Amino acid sequence: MEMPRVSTSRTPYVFLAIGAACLLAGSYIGLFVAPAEQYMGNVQRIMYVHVPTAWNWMIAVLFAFGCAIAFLFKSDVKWDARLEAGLEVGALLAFLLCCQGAIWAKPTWGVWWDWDPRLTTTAVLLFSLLGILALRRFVEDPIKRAIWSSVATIIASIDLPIVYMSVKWWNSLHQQQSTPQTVSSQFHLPLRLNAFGVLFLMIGFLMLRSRIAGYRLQQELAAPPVLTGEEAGELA
Amino acid sequence: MLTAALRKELLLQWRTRSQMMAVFVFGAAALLLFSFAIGPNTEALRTFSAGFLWLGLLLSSTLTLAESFHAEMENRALEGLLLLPSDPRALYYGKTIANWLQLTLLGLALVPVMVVLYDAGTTQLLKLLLIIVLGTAGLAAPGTLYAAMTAQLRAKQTLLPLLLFPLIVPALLASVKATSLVILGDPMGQLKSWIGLLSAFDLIYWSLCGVLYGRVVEE
Amino acid sequence: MTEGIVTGGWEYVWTAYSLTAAAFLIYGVSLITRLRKERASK
Repeated sequence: MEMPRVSTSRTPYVFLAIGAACLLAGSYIGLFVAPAEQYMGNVQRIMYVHVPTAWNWMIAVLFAFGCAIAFLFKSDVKWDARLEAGLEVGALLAFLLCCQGAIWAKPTWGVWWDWDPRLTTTAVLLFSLLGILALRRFVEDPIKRAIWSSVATIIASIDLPIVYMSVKWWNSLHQQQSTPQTVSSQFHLPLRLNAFGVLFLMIGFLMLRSRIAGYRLQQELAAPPVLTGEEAGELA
Repeated sequence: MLTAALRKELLLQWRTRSQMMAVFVFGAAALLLFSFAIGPNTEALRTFSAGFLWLGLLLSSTLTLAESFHAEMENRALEGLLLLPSDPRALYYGKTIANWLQLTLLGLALVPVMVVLYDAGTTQLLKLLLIIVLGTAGLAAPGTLYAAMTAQLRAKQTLLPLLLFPLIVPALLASVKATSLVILGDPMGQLKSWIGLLSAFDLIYWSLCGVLYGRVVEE
Repeated sequence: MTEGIVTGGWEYVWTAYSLTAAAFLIYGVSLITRLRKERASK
């Protein structure tokens, strides 16, 4: 297994900066400029962070799935480093999504949580990701860890299309998917800005987290130190 | 090769059948505890009986699934098996089918316990059998795969449930729903769609896990 | 509630936005810190 090379370019920081700027601009517009919605009033403004988080969470899971497949086919550990990043960022976004959803649900549905299909399948995927991250902590051999994480990620990703289609397949309490057709045009700009904002932030996070994983893999895959003559003599 | 693997698994299970008795007692005890948690509310017990049955079965499955790799972990038998000139998938499916049979038997054994404790009887025994067969299939496939992984680790007892439970939630939900409809009645004819969903999950997991098994046990 | 229309609720909006901002900020800072530490210990 080759030693992974870790990049030191400034690109992730550029992504973080652009992402933060977009998110700030989009949030400002969403909070103060866009009109209040007809039925949900101002509470609906939570959509401008909730929907972008949801979209990017699904992208993160797809990214992790892609890395898992890439690793199993190519056996290059750099894909495991990226997989680790995808899993962690995916878990973070999923947790954030559930919190935002609960905050939005309380004033609109009257409850913090409801076991409807979209929420249930999302929670399932969150726990799956946490489980795989836990698995990684207990496997010491980096190659085995990489193979098993890839296998587990592929199996867990089956839930993602179910999450996406859950609002269509079942009569879910949750809103239908947000597309330009279902969302009024006055809300498009802050939604798009925040979507790109979170996307760029996420790309920056994935790059930085992959580097951290890459450094750790370098340490784990490094050959053991060669003993000098004296030290070798002591052991004999 | 598959029949040889399956025969080996069934033979192993037959030789350790006293353990099966212990697992059954564990499952029955779990069902008993659930009824204590709800209290003497016969209506509630009957309404949730399907959920209790499947929860009891799920908890018991972590015992049987972990146990199914016990023999392979001694004397590095797993490596020995891999040296054989055969497809590792045959080994996987042999073990999974054996685990599936074991869980089906366990499920069937727990049904009378459910009937007695929760007053949850039904005359549609064939439908109940079908649901148990399909539901335990959904447990056995990913369960065997993850048991193979975690058997090699120190923290096996915590990791197997941690990894397995989120994955089998869809199968669990479908099984509970279908069993509930059989016990409590199905006025809107929803049973078919839940069984269809369960079958779809089984198909996906049985094929995917078989494909991936080879990578999990390779050296 | 009058005619099913939600009134007020700004506290929910502020909570959701601050939570999101805090999560991204803290995670980003933690990543940069961890990366610096990994590189320093090479």
